[in-house]
Amino acid sequence: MIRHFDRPLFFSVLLLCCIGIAMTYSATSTNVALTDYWQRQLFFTILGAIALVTAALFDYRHLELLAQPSYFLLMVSLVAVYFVGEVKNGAQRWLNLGIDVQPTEAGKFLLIIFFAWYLSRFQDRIRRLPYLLGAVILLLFPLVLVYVQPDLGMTVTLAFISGTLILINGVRLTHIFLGLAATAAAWPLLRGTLQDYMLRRIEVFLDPEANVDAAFSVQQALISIGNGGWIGLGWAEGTQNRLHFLRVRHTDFIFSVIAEELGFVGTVMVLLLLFFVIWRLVRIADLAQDQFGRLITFGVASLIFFQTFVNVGMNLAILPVTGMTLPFLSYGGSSLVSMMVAVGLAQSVVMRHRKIDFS
Amino acid sequence: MRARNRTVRPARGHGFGPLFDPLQRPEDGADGGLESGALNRAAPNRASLEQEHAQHPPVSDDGTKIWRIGFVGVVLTGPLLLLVLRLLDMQVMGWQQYEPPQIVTTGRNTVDDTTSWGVIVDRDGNLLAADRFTYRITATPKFISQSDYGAIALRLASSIGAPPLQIENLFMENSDRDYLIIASHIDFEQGQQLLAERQQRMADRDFLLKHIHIAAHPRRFYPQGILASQVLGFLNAERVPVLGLERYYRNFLSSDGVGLPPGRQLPRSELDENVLRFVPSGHGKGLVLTIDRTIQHIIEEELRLGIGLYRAEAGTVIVMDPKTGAILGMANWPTFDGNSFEDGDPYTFTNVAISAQFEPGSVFKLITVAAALDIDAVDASTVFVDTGAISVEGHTVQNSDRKAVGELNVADAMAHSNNVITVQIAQQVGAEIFYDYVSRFGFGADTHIDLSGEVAGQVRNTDAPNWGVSDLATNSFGQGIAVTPIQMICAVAAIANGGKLMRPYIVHSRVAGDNVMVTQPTMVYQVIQPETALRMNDMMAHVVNTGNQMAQVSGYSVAGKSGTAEIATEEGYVQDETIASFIGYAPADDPQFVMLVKLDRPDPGISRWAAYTATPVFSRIAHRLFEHMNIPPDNVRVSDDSQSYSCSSAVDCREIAPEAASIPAAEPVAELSNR
Repeated sequence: MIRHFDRPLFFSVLLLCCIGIAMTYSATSTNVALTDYWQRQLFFTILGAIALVTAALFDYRHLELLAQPSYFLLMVSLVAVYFVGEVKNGAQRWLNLGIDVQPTEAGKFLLIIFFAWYLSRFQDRIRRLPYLLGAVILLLFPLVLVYVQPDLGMTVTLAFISGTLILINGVRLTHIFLGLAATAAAWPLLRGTLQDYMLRRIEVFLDPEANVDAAFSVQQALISIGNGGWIGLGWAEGTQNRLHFLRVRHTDFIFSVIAEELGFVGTVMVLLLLFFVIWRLVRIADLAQDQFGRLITFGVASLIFFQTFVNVGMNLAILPVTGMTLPFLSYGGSSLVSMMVAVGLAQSVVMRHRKIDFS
Repeated sequence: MRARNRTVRPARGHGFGPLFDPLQRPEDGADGGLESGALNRAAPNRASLEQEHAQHPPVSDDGTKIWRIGFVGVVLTGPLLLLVLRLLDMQVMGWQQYEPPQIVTTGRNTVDDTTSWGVIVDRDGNLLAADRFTYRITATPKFISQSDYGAIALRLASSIGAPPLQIENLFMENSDRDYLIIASHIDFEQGQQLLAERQQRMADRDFLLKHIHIAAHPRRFYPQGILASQVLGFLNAERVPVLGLERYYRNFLSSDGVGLPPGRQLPRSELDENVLRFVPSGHGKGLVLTIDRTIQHIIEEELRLGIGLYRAEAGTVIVMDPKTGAILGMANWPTFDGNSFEDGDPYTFTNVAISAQFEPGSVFKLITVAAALDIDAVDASTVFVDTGAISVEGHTVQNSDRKAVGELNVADAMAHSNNVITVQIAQQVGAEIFYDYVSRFGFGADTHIDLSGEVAGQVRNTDAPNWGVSDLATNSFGQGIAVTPIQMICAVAAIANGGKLMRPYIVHSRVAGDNVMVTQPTMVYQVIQPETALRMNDMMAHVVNTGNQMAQVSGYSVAGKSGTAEIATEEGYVQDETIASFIGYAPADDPQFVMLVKLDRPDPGISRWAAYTATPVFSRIAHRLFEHMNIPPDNVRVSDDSQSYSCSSAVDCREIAPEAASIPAAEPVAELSNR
């Protein structure tokens, strides 16, 4: 069983984490209040690695039992946020449980588990409309609750992951067209509910000149990236980064720090490493011995893919600004550890892909 | 079990492609019935789980494998490629676009760069506004022992120029305060000396001046004093721009503001070296105005003289280049000095030339007649009959002298400024077309001159709620309509410029560092046909020769029209309180400047008529402008073909020049301004 543990995946994830620590150091060491952040990130990485291995040893098939409770938990926490959530920066996304937690962070994984179970359980019948509609309706409840928080980025993320899972599981072409038509019909309604800040971000993206203040972060990110050149200014040498021109540089804009300090060559390496991780996950999905395992792994892969693409796209100004982190690289304990757990689940899938081991 | 058996149903051909075909082979169907049972069991043991999943292996054959590889390849490498290409473009190909900003280092005692404000110079480079640094002396009296007050006061007195006792008293009265301003603006040299002495003392461990603070602050300085002060505006005590150019160009002039707008930029060297005397290079910014300091001085001086001579309350003069719309001079009286705006009357801060509206009076007849000529409703020789009064919807319009002249052609009606005939002309034009021309000439809307505080005036056209036919009658000779001086001069400049209305502007070029952006003259509208403009030109020259003779300048042909408007108050029009104005341009055949002179409430004991107040002021200024602008008299200019005077069009040069000379000799006509 252990011999199927995906070592390339494990070590590339660890390597990404180490780059993340180094970059966190570079991005925060000039700010007195944040000097210990790289140590914290190191601690989170160790914690994450342990969690990864633990999750790999855990038999993912038991998770089927947790699928319904996890959906229930997600809905309860989202409803709780709706009624008694903490309001920060105009959005009601946090629950105060001693510390403020954001249920949607874990919600991504809860939703993956639930949909992996639902889709694999009704795998065949999903081709019939009622079952597909059931999936869509089950998805819509959390989506609407997240949307009204408001949190457009998370809504899109959840929709993307679930949509990928549904497509991977197999859908009739006619149903896809039906879904597109329904979305198009509902579009005027949706448009009216777009919050001001969402529209503003899209506006800033489309016309940076119009809103100088809001475009500042993106502009500084672009300057940082352009500043890098072929080989970069060297680790902890980036002027944009060290002189604090770059905003939220250890989380949302860490990619710009990488681009400035490691240059084109280093950045492409990092990107390749990220896509290597995704490819290993897809490979695991391919190998998986059952549909549940396959869908879980695919969910994790699509989540990493989506976050990577959106975050890097935002840094490169080809997508609007969303508060989405770069997997394994951005500073942040909860997102790092949960990502590592997710990779651990995929390991769990690949370790058990040969039924011969148990017969 | 019915549903479970459906697992067997093959779905090939209408699924979402064979990407990951989730269906089992039909031959596996026999075992498939168990596949969804996991949840129905309370606590399935591990072995049964393994077994169950083992029964349901994913399917892969060569066909789906190719699809899968292709799909994953496209889905993963597509976005990756997109990101990498974008990175390549930004980091390697076009990285210059994203160069980081320069880091500004400031040494000790230097002044914060971000607070400095660009310079403003006139068209020849004479400095009109710049930052000058003065020192501010402050103290922390709380930390100074009372025994030192005398010594400190004695030392500071020589720098500040105030008696030591006064400074000592200041300390005494504020002895428990943290912060005390002793002097706000002391000279640069004095401040430097004091600063040097303080540093020397500190080095010698003499701490007498330790709690005296000397810091340089920029202060806006207007070297020409009141000259063009209302055009320039000023920076207030908090260095916030108030009115004028300072306000309009605040984002450009502030050193942390925006740079040049996109558009054609020239290198700095394209401007005359003289012009750039005071415009700093590097990161500095500057405005070069179209204003000519000498012209500005002439009009301010003559305006002051005119106001004194006719005991008017206030006045405005604007001089403009009709061909480009460039403002050569713009003055109002009373005015203020930007260096001591604190002492000025806030009412004098506004630039009346653009910010105040007035009823133009007879000058506006030009617009009525221009409209009539342009649609061929009348001709200069069309004869109307003046019966002394005309009744429109119960309103009776009379001539200003309350007399009836009888038969008059249009040109002579203009020269006599006949109200009754103007009303008849307006009726021939019709209300719709009349107001169409009024708005095309730019009335009722901003001219968009690059100065802060412009107002639009008021035109009540046929769409206005209580408009009546009598409004057309009164509007036709400039009553019941409110315009700004800048609108009025722009409209007449359009006539002088072959019917082309130009947008007025006052900044010749903007200099930012080593780049220069020169303002391009902008045509707003071809208001009237060039031929109509020529006929108007003849008529206006005729007006000066036969009606407003006081506008004449010996040796030059002048075209123009005067207007005397009674001032509307809440009690209605007040007899004897008038606004007298004259607008004209010269030389009539090739206009080099167009000028508006407006005097408010000239003393009726001298004259309430524009023809005897604003018109002679125009003539005096025009005379000096001819000299300053080096414009030769008509006979010299017309006979000397080598003089290359730019004509607005070939037609102008060929057709007007002889006619201007052949205008019949002036015959004395009594002043006939309106009402």
